Amino acid sequence: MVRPAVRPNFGETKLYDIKLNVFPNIGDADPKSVTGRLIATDSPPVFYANLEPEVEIVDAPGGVATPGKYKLHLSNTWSLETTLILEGSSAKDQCDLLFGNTRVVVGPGQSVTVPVTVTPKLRIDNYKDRSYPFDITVYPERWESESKYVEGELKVSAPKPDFRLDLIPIEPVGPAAKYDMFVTNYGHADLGITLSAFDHEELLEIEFERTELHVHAGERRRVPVTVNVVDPPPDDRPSCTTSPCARCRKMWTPGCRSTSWARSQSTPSRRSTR
Amino acid sequence: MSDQIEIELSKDVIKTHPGDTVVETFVIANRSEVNDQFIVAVEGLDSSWYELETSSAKIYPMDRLKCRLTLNPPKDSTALAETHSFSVKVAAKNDPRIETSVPMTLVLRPFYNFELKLDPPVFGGPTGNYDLLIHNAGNDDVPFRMVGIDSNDSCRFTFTPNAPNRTCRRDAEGKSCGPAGRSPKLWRNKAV
Repeated sequence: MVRPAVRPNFGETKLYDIKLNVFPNIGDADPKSVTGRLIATDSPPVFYANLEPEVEIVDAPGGVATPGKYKLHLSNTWSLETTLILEGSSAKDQCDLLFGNTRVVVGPGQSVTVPVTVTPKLRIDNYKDRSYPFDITVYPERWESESKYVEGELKVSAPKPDFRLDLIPIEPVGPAAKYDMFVTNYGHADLGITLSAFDHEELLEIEFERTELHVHAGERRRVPVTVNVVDPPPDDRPSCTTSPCARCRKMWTPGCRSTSWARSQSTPSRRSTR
Repeated sequence: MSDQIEIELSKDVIKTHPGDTVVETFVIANRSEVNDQFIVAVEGLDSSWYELETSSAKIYPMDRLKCRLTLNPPKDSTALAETHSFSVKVAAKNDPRIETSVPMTLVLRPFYNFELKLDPPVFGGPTGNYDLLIHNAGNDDVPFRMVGIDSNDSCRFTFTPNAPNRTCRRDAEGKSCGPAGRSPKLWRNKAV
């Protein structure tokens, strides 16, 4: 460290040519010297840093968010040119910060804008909005004690879920019918699904093997479904529901007296089951 | 060690400076009654430091062969100022179990050389914070003493560490060393 005896006045600079002599204390080796220059100022580098979002909220249509873009404004209010070093970090190291330049030379009284790109590293694993806080450290070269911190936040809007439901009757016999319901996730993120069912006349009891389902992106999952008739009258209980009622167009309805039901009850398949 | 081969050295300790060339002779004697081919080799020394006049020779029974070993260790930090042990080995080509080796010693004397660099050469601020880089290009450890002066004779210079320090010759080999455990290659006197 080279410290001038007298500090320059405010806004002034003073030049010192310095020379360092190095003496090897062994053998017959000659000393050597190296020269340099100190431009003494009244203060350490003074600068300001400000972060402006250009695209702060980004979509994640493909499961991976597009980068957020920012502008970092750097202003040097010092009397000398200064070299500013930029470093970025994010909470839990979830983002990559890419600067247009990590070493920026700013002249006295000058301002420079550096583009900053923030990209989440992790794949979006559900359809929730997310935010990624990050910060940028700026310090003049060799003046880390004069560091300034700028905070930012990347907001990623959730992608839209894209899924399909298929109900396939596999054993539609009797008052208790069994089905397979298939949930296909066509989206790019995992899907959390809650299943529920009802019939308007409240005559059926519909049960899912599970009501909470997690379907990965691109995955198809099966959920067995059981449909029971709620307390059907003995006289109205058919054993076959393979054809709909001709009158009400439903598979089976307690109290239905239509002739089509009579036909369905006398089908060979019905008789064979008795 | 076979008694069928004998190696006679003119001297077993060679002292020299890096960059110099020393020629050493030795004699290989075939003490067997077989006309044999012999392989001659040097072990324990960097191959770029020596030249062997004969690497393979036919020696008649009870005959002798005079060989020359030329040593020319380089004048750089790889040729450390210390004692280097090596050996000359002679083996029968047809039966490698018949072999003899003799130990030799190369003592390299020190030489001193260093380079300086100030980083950055120009610095702005109320105080100047520089790195003085001292590269010890010699082959031995060297303690240094640093003194700073300025054009106005009005600056105070502080070196950290401030005591005369010994730069390690192994710096050039990329090994860590030095009292402060500084980085290899260049041992730094970082100003604060």
